[in-house]
Amino acid sequence: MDYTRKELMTVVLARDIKDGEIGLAGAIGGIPLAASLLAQKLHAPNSVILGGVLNPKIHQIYPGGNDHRNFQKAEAYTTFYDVFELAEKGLDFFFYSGLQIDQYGNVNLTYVGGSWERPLLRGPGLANSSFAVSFKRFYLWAEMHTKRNFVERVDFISAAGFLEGGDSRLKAGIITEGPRFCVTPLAVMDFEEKSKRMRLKSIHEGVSVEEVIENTGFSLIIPSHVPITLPPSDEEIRVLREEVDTAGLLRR
Amino acid sequence: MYRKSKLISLEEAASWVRRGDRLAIGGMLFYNRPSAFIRQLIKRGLRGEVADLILYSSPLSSYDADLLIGAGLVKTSYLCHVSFEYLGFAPNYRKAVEKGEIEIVECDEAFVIGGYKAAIEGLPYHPISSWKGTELLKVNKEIKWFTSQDGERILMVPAISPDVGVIHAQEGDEYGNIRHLGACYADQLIAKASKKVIVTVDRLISHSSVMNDPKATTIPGYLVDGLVEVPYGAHPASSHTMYIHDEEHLKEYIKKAEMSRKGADPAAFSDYLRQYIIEPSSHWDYLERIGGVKRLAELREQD
Repeated sequence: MDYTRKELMTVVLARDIKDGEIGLAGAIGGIPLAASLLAQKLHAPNSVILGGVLNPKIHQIYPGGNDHRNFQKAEAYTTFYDVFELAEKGLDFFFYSGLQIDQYGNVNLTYVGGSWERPLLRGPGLANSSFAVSFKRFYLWAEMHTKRNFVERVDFISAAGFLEGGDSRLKAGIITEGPRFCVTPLAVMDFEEKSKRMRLKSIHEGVSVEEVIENTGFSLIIPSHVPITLPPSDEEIRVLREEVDTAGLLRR
Repeated sequence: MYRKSKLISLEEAASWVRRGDRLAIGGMLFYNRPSAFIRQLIKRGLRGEVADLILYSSPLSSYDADLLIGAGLVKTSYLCHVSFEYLGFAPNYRKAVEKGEIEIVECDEAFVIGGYKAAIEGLPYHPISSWKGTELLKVNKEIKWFTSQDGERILMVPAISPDVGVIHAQEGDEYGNIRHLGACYADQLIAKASKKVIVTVDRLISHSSVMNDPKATTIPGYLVDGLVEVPYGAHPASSHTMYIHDEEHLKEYIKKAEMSRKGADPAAFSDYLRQYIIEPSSHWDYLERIGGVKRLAELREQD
C-alpha cells in the first residue's frame, strides 16, 4: 500500500495509546496530534486529548498547533493553570522531539555545540521539561533520522530520558516509566530493559538495518532478528486520511 | 464622582514601560499576541527611551520576543521557548544568545507559571516537583531546594511579578473587562501577577453588553489598568476567531532577520524595522504597509 513515512509514524504512535488514557498532544508538531486523534477514532474512544483545547473534533490539521482553526470544535479550552497542574501531577502520555536525542532517550532542545553560555547553535528551548518526569510515559519522535540528531550524549538534557542509563533515572528520584519508544522516518527504537540503551525494534518497509546504523550517531543495540514495522492497515489509513488529516499535512 | 474609563492610546500604553522593567507578554507563539503594542514600544526603544528589559511571556514566544531582542531592548530573557514553530528558528534570539548579547535565565513552564502563581498568592516561592534529572537545574541559579523538618527536599521557584503585563484579547469595554473569544493561555495569570496590566483589543464593546453576559468575561476590569482598542493589533500574530497569523509576513520577517544573522545582508533586519516600525506614522499606516484591507480580508478566520 501507498503511505508516507509521516503517516506510518503517526500510526505507530496511535497504536500504543490505550482506551481511557489521558494525554497531551503538545503545542508543536502535527504528528502527535494526528496520532492522538487517530487512536481516539480507532480503538480509544474514551481517551482524552489535551492541548490548547480538550478533545478537538477536527478533520484537518493546520500546521500551527495553536492555530484557532484547530480549535473550532472542541469540548473545552485549556489554560496554563491546567498545564501547570498537569505538569506537576502528571497524565498518561506526552510526545517529545528535539534538536538531539541520545542513546538513553534524553532530549535536547536547548543548544548544540560550544557551551551553554556561548552555544554554537541556540535552539528554541524546551517549554516544558516537567512532563518527562511527571507523565507516566512519553514517546520520542523525530522528523529526521541522522547522525546529527541521534547522538551518543545530548549537549544538554532539556527533558530527562534514562539519563546515564541503567537505574540512573530512578536514582535521580524519577519514578515514571520515561521514554517508551522512539519513532523516526527510518525505524522504531525502544530501550533495552537493563542498560536502557536504545535498541532497534523494527525497520520501516524499504529501510535496511545498515541504513539505520549508518544514520545513528551511537551504537544502537541490534537484535538478531529485526522485523519490519507493521505497515498501516487499510482501515488505519482510511480513517487517518478521511477523518483526521483530510488536507494531507502528513502526505507532504 | 464618576467611574473612570481605562481607555488609553497605544502611545500612552507604550510609555508605561520604563528602562529595566520586567515585561510579560500574553498569548502564545504567534497567537493572540499584542504585536502593535510591541512595535510601539520598539519605536520608543529605538529613540533611546526604553531599554534593558527583563522579558517574560507565556511559556512559548515568537515574533514579538525576537523583534524586541533584535531591536536591542532586552537585557535578560526568562523565555522558555522562542521559535517560529513550524516556520523555523527565531533568528535574533539565536544570534543574541550565541553572541552572548543577552542574559538567559534557563527555565520552562513550571518555573514561569509557578512564579506567576507565587506572585498572585503573595508567596515568595512556589513548590514544583517536576524538574528532576534535567540540566536546567545546573544552569538556573534562581531555583532553590528547600528541606522540610522531616528531611523532605522540594524545589521552589521564585515569585514573578512583572512591572507591566501586556495582553491581546478580542474584546473589552472601557472599564477593562476583557473577553477572550478563543484561548486564554497564561493571560489571566499574567494579569493577576503583573503590577500594571495593559490589554489591547481588536474591538471595543459596550459596558452594557458585558453586564448582560458576565460569564463571557475572561479577565475582569479590576485587574486591568489600561485598555487600547487596536483593530488587527495582533498582526502578524493571529487573534483567535477573528484572523489567522500572517504566514507570508512572518516568512518575510524570518528571511530578513536570518539574512542579517548570517551576515549575508546585515541591513536586512534594519530594513524591516524601518519599513514596519520606524516609518509607519500609526498603526493604520502599518496596516496599509502589510497589504491593507485586501490582506486583512484574506486573513479573516474562516469557519
